[in-house]
Amino acid sequence: MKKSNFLAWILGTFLLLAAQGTWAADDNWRNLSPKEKDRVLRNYQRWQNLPSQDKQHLREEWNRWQRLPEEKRDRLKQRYNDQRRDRDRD
Amino acid sequence: MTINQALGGACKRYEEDLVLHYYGEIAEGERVRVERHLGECDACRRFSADLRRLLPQINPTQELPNSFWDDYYRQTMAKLTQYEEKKNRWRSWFGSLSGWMMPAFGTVSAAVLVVALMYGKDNPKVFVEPAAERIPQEIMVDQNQLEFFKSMHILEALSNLEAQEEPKSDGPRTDRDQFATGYIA
Repeated sequence: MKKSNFLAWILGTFLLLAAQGTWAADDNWRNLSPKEKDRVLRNYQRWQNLPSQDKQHLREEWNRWQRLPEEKRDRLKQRYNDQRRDRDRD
Repeated sequence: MTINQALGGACKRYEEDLVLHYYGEIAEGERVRVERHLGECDACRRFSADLRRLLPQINPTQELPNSFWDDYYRQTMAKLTQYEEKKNRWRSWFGSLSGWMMPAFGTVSAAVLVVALMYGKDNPKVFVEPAAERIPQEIMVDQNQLEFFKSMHILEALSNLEAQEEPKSDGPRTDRDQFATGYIA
């Protein structure tokens, strides 16, 4: 009886956590601006057409990006946006 | 030697009464009748003597110390108190709900939960534009995946951006850098 209760708790917790992850993604998606949504979808389409070694490389870059200090990430984002803006102006 | 071999020879209709007599669990009238029979029947007297000799060996009485019974009593009372408290707590919560009100309460709670989950945080758009945005499941697997696709264009240029932050290097240094140069400019 105790064992089955324990297993039920584990299963319930797992399902809740899994559902929470999806809900969080869903919620985050809805909170994106139309421009950001468009960017995500375009990135996704490009991702689908990338060769597997490039996908692997991007995964590695993603891991590295996550490990960067937030301050540095903000700086790099800013630099990227500045360069994009300059390029669009030219 | 088994117990059946050791015991034997009692009158069939007195066997059970003799055992009850031994344990002192016989009615007064029956006790007089059994004792009168014991006075007359050698076989039943032997059977009764065998019972007195053998039964204590089969089931020896274990004397437990008083401290054991004190602990036992305390633990039992504590468990009973806990049980009563728990029961009263539920009763006080749902005391006013009786009969059809309990299932009605459950149904309303479930409905409220479903509505709350669907609306989310101040987001009634779910009802207004259901599935209007067909998002590939791969993006929505989890939050991390969404963030990945949100930042992918920066990741492609990451090495290049970092290289620009460190002006010491001259141009791309690794395969990674060369990968990056194709995207930003």
